[in-house]
Amino acid sequence: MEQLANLMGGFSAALQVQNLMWSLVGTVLGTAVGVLPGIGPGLTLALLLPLTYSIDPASAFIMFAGIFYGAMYGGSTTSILLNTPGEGSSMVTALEGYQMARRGRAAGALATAAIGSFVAGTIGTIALTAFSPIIAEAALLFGPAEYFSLIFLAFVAVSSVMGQSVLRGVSALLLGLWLGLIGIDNQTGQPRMTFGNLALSDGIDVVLVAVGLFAVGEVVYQLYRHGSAGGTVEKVTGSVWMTRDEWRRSWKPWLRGTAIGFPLGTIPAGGAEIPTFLSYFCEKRLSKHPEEFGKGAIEGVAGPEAANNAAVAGVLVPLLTLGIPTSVTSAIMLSAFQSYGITPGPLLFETQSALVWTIIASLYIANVMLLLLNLPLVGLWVQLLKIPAPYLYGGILVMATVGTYGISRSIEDLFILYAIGALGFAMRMFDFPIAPVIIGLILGPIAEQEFRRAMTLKQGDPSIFFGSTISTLFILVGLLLLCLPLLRKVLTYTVRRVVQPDRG
Amino acid sequence: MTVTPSSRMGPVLIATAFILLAAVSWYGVQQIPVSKFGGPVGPRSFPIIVTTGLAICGVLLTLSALRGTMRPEDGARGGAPWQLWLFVAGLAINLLLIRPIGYPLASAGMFTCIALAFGASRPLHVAGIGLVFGFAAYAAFRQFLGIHIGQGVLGTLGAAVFGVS
Repeated sequence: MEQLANLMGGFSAALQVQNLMWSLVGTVLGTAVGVLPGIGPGLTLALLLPLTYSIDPASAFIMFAGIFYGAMYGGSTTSILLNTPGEGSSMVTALEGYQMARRGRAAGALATAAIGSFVAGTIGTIALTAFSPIIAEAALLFGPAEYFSLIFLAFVAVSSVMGQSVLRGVSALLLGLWLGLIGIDNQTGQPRMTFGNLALSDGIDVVLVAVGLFAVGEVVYQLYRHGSAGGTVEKVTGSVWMTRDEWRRSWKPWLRGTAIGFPLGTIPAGGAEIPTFLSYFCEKRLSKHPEEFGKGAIEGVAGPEAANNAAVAGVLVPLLTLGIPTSVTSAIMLSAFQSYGITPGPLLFETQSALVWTIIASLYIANVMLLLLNLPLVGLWVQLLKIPAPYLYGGILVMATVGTYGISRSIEDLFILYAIGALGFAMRMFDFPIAPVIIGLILGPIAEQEFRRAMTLKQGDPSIFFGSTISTLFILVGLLLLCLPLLRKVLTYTVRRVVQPDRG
Repeated sequence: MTVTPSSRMGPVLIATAFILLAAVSWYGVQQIPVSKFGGPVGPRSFPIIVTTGLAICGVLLTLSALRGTMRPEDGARGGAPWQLWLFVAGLAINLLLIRPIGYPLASAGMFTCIALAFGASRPLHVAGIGLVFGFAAYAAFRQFLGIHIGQGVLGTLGAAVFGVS
């Protein structure tokens, strides 16, 4: 019951007018970046990171949480009406949602997405409220070895699950880890990888890397690939409400989507994308009319949209309780915590109890706000889709300048930003995932710290990482994930030889 | 799809870049001073692991590039060279002019180039929107967040004409 009291305390802080304003700003901004193709929640948080210098932590995180949740609501609108997903996690929604829109049921698709997001977001937040303190308490028993093994597992998962190839994922991760090495070693105070350059001793700014890869690199890629952008926006006709039949077909997928999304969000499996795919296939399999899939089956919108919101709530669990981000957006949240000198992790619930519970309470509030913003006001967001793509891309780069040069006033930073943009373009061209770079950069220094602490405990004997069952388990699962593609290759090869013995 | 030498070029370059990075990183590791009084794992251990990883990935990427398993995503290329050059010109304008002429004007220039590169017609119209957007962003950040992005020549002009800056 102590939890309930804590949560009530959180609500009384989050419901203050000023904090409600921050929540409104966050949810509006989040929905907008969700709707707009080319801008995601990760990029938005990165651009807003400098705000942590001027506003207090509670306000900042209330706004960030609104953006985090809001992007999931907004993403569905673009998928349904434009067939171009605003975010990776709304990709699946486009499959059925766009077909529904073409058949004049855009309103039903938008409503099931918004209400499903609300149901899943709220259940997910309840689960977060219930489980986080328990996990945090369990994690208090973790020593540096367990921590390092867990981060190792997170690294492997993030780089092998996202993208097409484990090799390219791991390469991207190592690139991020290397960028994280640059600067002052926080244990000895000596500069590393700075090559005598004083400017590098502060380290590579997360904002520069995230904005360079996501804003600059992505825009060049769009230009190279498509030359121009834009599509036709489907009209929203009929009432923005669901028919009785649509309700009947939606509620089960919402709950199933939540059940898939939340647990997958909590483990390091790359955030909200994979749960949406799983939910889609699950609904397709369970449907009594599988032939409707691909032609506008509402289950295919309701399930995945619930799954991605529940997953976002899930992603916050390891971030708050263990200090381990499992998606780009949560990695940038972690660096926002760091910029306030706060270390997320098991101790957060003790040392920053008021802040944590204010953030959690604000998640409930954000969900209600988002339902109101997205259901009756959906027409307003559709207007955003009328911004011509050339202006949108021009605008993204103007904002990127504000977020980088605006803070440091250094031309060198602007130059580094564009250089990282070129790198991002090359990575996109050859299908290297970008998320592991960001996660490696942010989590790398923490990994090293835990690594050195653990090794020091046993005078440099690496067997410490196999010293406890939990730690061994994390390492083994990580190694298994790393070798999975190789195993699969060997397996299919053997199977093929057995099945078709006469073929070389 | 057959593997032509030209489609191998890009991947080989990327793989080489990783090996080069590993080499640079190795040099960097050698520069890290090691204290005699440090623990069993000093400031070099983790960088050495990362460097080794980069080198291994570089070699594996090279192999994969030579076998042709890594290549640019399939799909038509849409943007013409002039579009990309116009885009780069936009970035260059911002980079070179932001200090002398200030954020709002440099941004407007960059905005115009990028929008035109993406196929916007009516350059004057675009430039107008860029100007409004640049000034709006400048004013919003200054007003609400107290972030002063350089105003360059405009500040000097403003000071001369209105006596403010």
